[in-house]
Amino acid sequence: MSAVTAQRARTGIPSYLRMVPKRRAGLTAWQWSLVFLVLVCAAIEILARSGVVSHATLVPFTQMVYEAGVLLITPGFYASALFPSLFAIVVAFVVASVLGVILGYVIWRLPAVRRALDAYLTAYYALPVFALYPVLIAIWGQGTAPIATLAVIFAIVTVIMNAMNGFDGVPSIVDKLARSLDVSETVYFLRFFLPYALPSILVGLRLAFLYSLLSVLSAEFLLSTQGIGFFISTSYLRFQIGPMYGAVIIVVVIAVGVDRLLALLTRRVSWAGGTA
Amino acid sequence: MTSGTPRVVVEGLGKRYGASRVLDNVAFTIAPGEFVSLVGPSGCGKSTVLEMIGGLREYEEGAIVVDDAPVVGPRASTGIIFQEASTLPWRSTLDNVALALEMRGVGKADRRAAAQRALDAVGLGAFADHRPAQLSGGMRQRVALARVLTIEPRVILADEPFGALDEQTRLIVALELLAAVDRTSASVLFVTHSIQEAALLSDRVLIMGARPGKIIDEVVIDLPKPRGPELIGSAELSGYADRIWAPLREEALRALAMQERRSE
Repeated sequence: MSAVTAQRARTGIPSYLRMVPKRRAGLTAWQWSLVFLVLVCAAIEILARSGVVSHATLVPFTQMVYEAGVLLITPGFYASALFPSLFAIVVAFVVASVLGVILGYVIWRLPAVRRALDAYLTAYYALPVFALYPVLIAIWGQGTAPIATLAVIFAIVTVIMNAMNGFDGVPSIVDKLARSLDVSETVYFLRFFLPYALPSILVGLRLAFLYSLLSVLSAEFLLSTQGIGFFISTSYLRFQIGPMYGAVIIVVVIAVGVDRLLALLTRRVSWAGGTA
Repeated sequence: MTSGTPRVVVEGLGKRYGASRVLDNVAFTIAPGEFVSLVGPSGCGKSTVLEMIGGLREYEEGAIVVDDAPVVGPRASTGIIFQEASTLPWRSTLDNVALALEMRGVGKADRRAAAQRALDAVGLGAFADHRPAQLSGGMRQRVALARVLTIEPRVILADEPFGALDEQTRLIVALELLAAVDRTSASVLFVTHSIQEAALLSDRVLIMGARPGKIIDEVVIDLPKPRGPELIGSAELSGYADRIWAPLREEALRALAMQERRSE
């Protein structure tokens, strides 16, 4: 008897019909995520403390957290690193989101334009945009504006693509329903059309935030005189490994925190599966 | 019930797609409170006729008059139920039912009270807080019916509303629709391809032929109301179904032959 039939004989229900259990080995998915995190941190701690990995390369996790704390009580860190980066990320995210949804709608309304752009849009993230960064910064100069602009260029396409996906998914019955209720174009767009596309749009926004963050930090790495990216890169070059990891921890916490927040928001409006 | 001047008058309705004639001189009336079904083979244009009466589609030839006024667009006094579930997934059942009144600017308390009454009328009173995704297909169509009932319509247009449901469910839900509609004075045009459904619900059944679509016959269903599920499978109902099927059979065969010829 094979394993599958043995299992079926035991439970009477084929495996593909059984519900996925909420817990595995007594823990929920969320608790397993925490266990994984603790294990990774412990591994870093042990590797660094035991000297298996040189202290010049890796510091213990507890020291990383300590260094992050030190940075967060250093006023200069906010002014020269954290705030410039956050400002550029937020500006890029907002501009990419608003402009992306608008452009997505315009392209979606113009099938000929969409067909023409389709190949470029789908291949966009295969292009090594980062390779062009030094060139683009050389053209535009340094400062927040060019960095934010680069981030918008990098992040906007995923907003456009996901918005168009969302608009594609609006069933034609919604248009019929709205017309039978004799509502205006504006009301149709805001109350019927856009809400239908919202879950997909939010997926794009979630990616756009991560792309903005990635893009701003990379640009700061390469050519800038401020920001967290610049701080990490200069700390590294000066062999200040502790503060470098402290800044990395801060970036990870911000990225994961905002992403979780956006994921929560996405789940709240994702009614499609009936889980909302 | 079927006295006085007709509420819906369709005269000489025609439509062409390029050289081919889709609708040809479609003409009928619906009296106040009358339940009229429109049956015919696929593609005969019955949904087109319904959408024209609903003001969702323009017509070039002929005239459509509802309540003594020519149809130029959607009307507030006409409710339409579509084949696809027309519920908005992010709204609760109650707010989906209240949608029509909301779009007319009726205040929140008033429209919710009206929506709850309509939900009770279609037997979904206990599901006011549910989302459409938590309802079955039959329940969602009853939500659409409840939404139409809230506007106290003078005309209800139903475009194969139960077409996606299984046969048992559809007849039960259809009888519920009939009961709910009978409590109003609305005239109903019910487009369906189910002969049994048409016979069960209607005062009168119009039979449409295909290519070009036109009314080829009419069967008056002289069964007392209210009608219940005990009628299903009865000799009387089967007799009416046979009378509807007789002219339809030839049309259906002809339409099928034309489709096969086209796909060769």
